[in-house]
Amino acid sequence: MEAAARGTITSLETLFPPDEAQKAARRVEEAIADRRNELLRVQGFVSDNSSLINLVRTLPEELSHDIMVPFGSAAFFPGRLVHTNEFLVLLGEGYYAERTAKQTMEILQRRGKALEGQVESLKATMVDLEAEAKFFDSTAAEAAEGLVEIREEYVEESEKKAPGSDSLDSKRDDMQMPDEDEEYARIMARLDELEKEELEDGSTSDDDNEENLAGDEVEDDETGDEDEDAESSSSFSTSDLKHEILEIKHKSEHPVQKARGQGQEMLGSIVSKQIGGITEQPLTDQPFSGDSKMQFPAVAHSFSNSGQSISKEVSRSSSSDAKFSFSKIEDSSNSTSRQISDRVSSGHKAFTGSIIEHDLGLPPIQSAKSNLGQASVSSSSKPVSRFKMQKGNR
Amino acid sequence: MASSPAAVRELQQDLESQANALSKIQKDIAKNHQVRKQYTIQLGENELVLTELELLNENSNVYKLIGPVLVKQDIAEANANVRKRIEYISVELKRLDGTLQDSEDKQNSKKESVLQLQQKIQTLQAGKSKS
Repeated sequence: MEAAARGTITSLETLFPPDEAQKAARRVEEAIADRRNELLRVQGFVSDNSSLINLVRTLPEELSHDIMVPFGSAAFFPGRLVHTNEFLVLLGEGYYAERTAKQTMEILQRRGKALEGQVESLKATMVDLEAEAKFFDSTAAEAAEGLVEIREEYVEESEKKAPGSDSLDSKRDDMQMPDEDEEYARIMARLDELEKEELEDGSTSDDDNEENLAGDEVEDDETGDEDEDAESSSSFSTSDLKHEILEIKHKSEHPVQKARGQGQEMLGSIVSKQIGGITEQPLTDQPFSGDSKMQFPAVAHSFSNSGQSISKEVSRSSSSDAKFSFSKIEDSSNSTSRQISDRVSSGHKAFTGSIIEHDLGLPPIQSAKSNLGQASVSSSSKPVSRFKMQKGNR
Repeated sequence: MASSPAAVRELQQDLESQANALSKIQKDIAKNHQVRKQYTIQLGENELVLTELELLNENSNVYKLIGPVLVKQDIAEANANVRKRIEYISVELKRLDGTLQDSEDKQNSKKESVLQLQQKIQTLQAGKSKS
């Protein structure tokens, strides 16, 4: 088994310490509170202004008004308001202007417009601050959960004990968008690399081949699941499927492995849960080869065994980068998937615990290993990849 | 190694003085900001007054409030006064901007020197503990 995958595991806690994130969030909230107070003040001004406009509008309607004039701080006396059309309007900076009611109203209206402009700008800044606060809050929450950002180099990955499927999921969600383009390029590069390796390495042993094939099958199943959500996935039980899958797998090794790293934990758990009464179980105990494709055989069979449930889960958990590679694979495997989907429907109804495909006249798959052995050497009427042919010939 | 602890103490004193200077500069910057805000508000208000004054026709009465006294003013005079005030405020703002920039530069350099001093002290202390 290869050494642990080279890569870095950076806890989100170190990147964005939850304490500091919370402090930042609080600071932003304070700023928001300040802005909100300002907003209230300015809105108070606006309402005052409008009530003043109404007053100025009504005053000149009478020649004189009888009012109670405030006298000091606690007294009033009755009086009369005369010159109801003359207003001394404060222009600002201690300057007053004598104006008529109509002119005063115009001044006040202009002032009201300026105030509304201020309100708008305040609201805009508040919206920005609130967005910032939300971001800080979510970061603090995530960091508090103990999320870990895992970055790996694109090398042959061994099984990686990533911290829980939850972190994988969320990490996937977090890293999905930024990584997509990079992933795609990397996947393409790895595809080429793996193909070369396949050609150079040759077959180590038949068993390894079989295991690899099974792994391929599983991987393809997995990737197929990820790509073709509703289709395929569940009943990858036929050996001819295996052939197809192997073909696809060779092309998709890189992305699969990558996807595998992500979906690994989930699949592992799914597999262990759902492998029941199936001889494939021993597969899970098999030592994982350097390619770590081995785990897929168990997964593949579990797929077929457990039916759609697994496939659905896998497809749900599939990562975007897997999708990229699979878009390529999809083209080549469309025929396969179609067959798979056909078989899926039949597999659901009549699943007997052993995977036997009679339609295409291929040898039935009894157990993983024996099936693998058979699959690798069985002659299939379907076109097989040149890799497989080479493997078979060796 | 009698010189090391003395050197360390010296450096620490230097550090203290630099830190004080740094905090002083930061206070200056804060004050600058405050005054700038004030001036900006006044400038806005004066510009409003100017627009209103320009809208007045020639025979309107303009009064200025000087303390408790409301004094009648010539509209041309009021216009000129407000314009001069606006100019004065703008000049003040520019000057403050310059001082603010200077203070910020000084603050950054002080920060760097403080950091350097801290590093020196740390290395000295690490060296002392090693020896």
